Amino acid sequence: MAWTRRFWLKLQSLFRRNRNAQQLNDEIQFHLDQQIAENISAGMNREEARHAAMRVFGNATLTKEQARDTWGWNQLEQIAQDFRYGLRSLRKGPGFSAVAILSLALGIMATTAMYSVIYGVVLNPFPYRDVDSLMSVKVWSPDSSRFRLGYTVDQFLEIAERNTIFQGTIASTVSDVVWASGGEPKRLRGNVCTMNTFDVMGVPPLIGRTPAKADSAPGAPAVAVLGYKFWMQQFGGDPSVLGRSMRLNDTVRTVIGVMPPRFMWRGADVYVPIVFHRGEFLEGVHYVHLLGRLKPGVTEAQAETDLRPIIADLKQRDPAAFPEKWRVGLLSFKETFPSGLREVLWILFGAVGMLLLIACANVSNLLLSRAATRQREIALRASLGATRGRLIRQLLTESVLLSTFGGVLGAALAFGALRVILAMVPPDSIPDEAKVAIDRPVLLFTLGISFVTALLFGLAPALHASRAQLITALKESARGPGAGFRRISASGGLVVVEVAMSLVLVVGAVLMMRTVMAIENQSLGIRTDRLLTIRVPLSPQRYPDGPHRTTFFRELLPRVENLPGVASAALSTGMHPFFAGMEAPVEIPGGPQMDTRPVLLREVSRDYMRVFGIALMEGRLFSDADMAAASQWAIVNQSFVHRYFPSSAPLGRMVRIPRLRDELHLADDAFQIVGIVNDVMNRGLTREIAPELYLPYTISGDADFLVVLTNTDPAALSKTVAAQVYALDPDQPVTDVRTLSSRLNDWEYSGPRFSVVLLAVFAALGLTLAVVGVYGVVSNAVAQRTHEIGVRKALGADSGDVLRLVFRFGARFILPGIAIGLAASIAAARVLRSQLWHVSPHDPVALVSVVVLLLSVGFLACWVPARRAMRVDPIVALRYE
Amino acid sequence: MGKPNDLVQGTLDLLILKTIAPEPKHGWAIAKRIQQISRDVLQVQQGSLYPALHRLEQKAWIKAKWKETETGRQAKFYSLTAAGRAQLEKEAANWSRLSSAINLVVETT
Repeated sequence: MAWTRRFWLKLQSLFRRNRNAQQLNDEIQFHLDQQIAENISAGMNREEARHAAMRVFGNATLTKEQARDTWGWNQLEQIAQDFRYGLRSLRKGPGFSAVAILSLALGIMATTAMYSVIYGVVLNPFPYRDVDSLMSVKVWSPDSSRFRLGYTVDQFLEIAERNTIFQGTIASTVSDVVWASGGEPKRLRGNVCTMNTFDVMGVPPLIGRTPAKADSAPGAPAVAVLGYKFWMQQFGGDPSVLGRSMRLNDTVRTVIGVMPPRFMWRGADVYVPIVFHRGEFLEGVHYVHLLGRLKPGVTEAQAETDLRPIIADLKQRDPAAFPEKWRVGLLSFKETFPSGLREVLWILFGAVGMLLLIACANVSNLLLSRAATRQREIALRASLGATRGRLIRQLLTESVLLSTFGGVLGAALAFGALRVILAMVPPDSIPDEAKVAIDRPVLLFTLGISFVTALLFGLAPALHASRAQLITALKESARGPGAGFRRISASGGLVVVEVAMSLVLVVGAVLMMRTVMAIENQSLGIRTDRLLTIRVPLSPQRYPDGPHRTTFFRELLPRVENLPGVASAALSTGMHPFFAGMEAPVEIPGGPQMDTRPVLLREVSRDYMRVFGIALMEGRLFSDADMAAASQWAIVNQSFVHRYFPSSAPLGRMVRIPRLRDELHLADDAFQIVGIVNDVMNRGLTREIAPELYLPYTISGDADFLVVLTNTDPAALSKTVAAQVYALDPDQPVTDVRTLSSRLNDWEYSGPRFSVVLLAVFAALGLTLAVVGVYGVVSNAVAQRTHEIGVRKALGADSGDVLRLVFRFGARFILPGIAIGLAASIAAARVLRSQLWHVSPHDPVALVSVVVLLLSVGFLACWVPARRAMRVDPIVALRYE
Repeated sequence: MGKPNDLVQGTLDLLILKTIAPEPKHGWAIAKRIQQISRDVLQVQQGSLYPALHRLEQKAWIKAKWKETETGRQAKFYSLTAAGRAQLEKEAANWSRLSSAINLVVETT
């Protein structure tokens, strides 16, 4: 068995190294002694015999080394040696090592932190079993970009029972669930769902159980399952919550289980599993979201063929439910619940990638300039028999050591950086289930990145240094005329790249800054200060219809208005400047042509315009009488007038809203225009103002946002206002109590600010590193050309000439860097376009200011070494010759 | 890895295997024997023998044993293993094929 023997020999040579080496010595000594003995017997004297024997034998040391090589462990030994040597040489240049490690750590920190966000939010956000086979059913019209994923309970049951493509189908909702627990009623975020939800999602409970078959039996006791966060907050993670009764929406339910932390399906505090029946609206649920687990191997086309007849039947039964021309298909889970941050995160990841490259270029540069001082050492090693490969390996080992230290430090810093990033993430922009942390996959990524960077920054300098000409390096001092010019051109190339990439980063940051300024400085048309907003989601059980709801609010409004510190109060179905979600096409009887684009609808109380400071242009505002009678009056904004009455007078004209007939069950869908108000932002801050119709809230009683204009700090009044609701109905919770400016902050400003702050930080780091790069290369050149400068001065050059000399040298990197950077940022701006608003990606102001910035910091970096050059004393410089 | 002077590596292997085929020999004896048989034509730098010996030992074609020589000193004696014997036959066959081919080329031109 040759291979077992081979293996045994290998092991032996590993563990008996010293003995084997001794034996090798003995073996060779024996050989020499034999030869000497033979030589003596041939008539030589002892000394001659020994010399002759050594001559025919050749280089004994080399022979031993080559013999040891065949034992096979030399490679390993050499690597260990390289590491020891590398550590020693890093210790010898502590300044160099610190700068290099710090640069890398900055780059790796930023990359690791961003990657952990991307991994948690985009790549692996959901904890459910095989997320890729979870699909929503989407119905859309080819004419519109909108699609629908929600279905009535009856439609859901029809699809769930008749389809053949899903293994399991579940319904879910985001519902207000009122928990009456004795004290103040609490509104919980509930998910009224089908019994099979937990099986289809494929996640076992943390404690207790999920619904079983018996729970679906008629007359079985009602159950509830808790979400982890809610369980921790309300019950402090107490397992004895199992079996406890909770009165949820007036039904007493037994808690049977608690889900694990990342199970946040529809972000629920509490899961209310029920059995859905046709024609019943249990728990006030009319619409549900449908999610199915696809059977393996079902294609998109098969799914469409399977679902098409079902939807066709549903449409036949209720023609208004689906558009005239419709298509049906599947929508993947990740597309159904996307993160609004996805695109921004990839852009930021690109930015940190560039930052890392700049850091690499910088370290590369440092290594190159260090190679100059190490030329003699390297030449010496080469002359002692080190091959080029061996030298390269040795230098790369040093790079790996640098990047390992940089990686460890960077990963440690990333924990802090991630905390800062997460604190800035706009609310509600990442899936509830997402877990963003620096965990194993992220650290593996960091490890990989560290090694790739070591190759990136280490390979070129290693190749370069190992190419050193033996003889010249040994003979010449490093200071000779013209020495190292090749090196300067190599590192000059790196500096050009650094300047170019930092310019791209700074341009991105400046474009985002201008976008944020454009968003924040625009006029919204409404007041945003002194406004307190509160949502009063009336329970569908106790306030089942419009009149009940209207009665409640009609009592609430005067109570709030009469509070001390309150100037005015109003109700609406959604507040400016946010998009309220209610849109419908309108018809103008007797109008010139049909315009089927939808207009915004907002049901408001009398003082809504006064509270927000929306100015009346013509006609009148709503009156108490309008509200009392639920009269069919409407107020429109200017955009509405521009679209529907470009040439005629709108006041007194009628507007029909056919959709209201279905959705609100209105007998009459015609409204008469009584007033025209100023245009104000009504679909968020980055979409243009849409035509809008204001209607009296008493037509449906659906308005549940209370907006209070205060005379003082609005936040201070939140308790007193909420108390008015409790006074009317102790079981009625209030939610979302906050000022309008904090809403604006969270929903409109925090997104762009998130990108701008991170981009600015990355750009600042990149620029700093690039400036350090320019400084390094220029000051190195000055140091090497001290002699030349001295000669020039001796020949009559003044300080101005020297300054020009240094600046001309610096310009050789800065100017091409800026040119390349400009071209690159024009290409890169295309990626950024989706994030920009009212700013062109080629915004001349941004481009020019960035070029000026780079020129100034670039030449500032030359200025410091230039001053050193100007102070060169010709006598001193020449004396060295 | 070192190269033996003037000798292709594989050739040196063949010579070593052939030399120790009849009986175990120590390094110096192998060097002498190669010199003798080749009538001093093959000038092997003696030192280069040892890396080759160790390599063959790692391949398990030869094995080594410390034994006393006739002068009473300890020396390392190399002998063929079964695998080595097979290898020797293969390389010898290769060699004769190659050399006769070269002969053919050299003589016909």
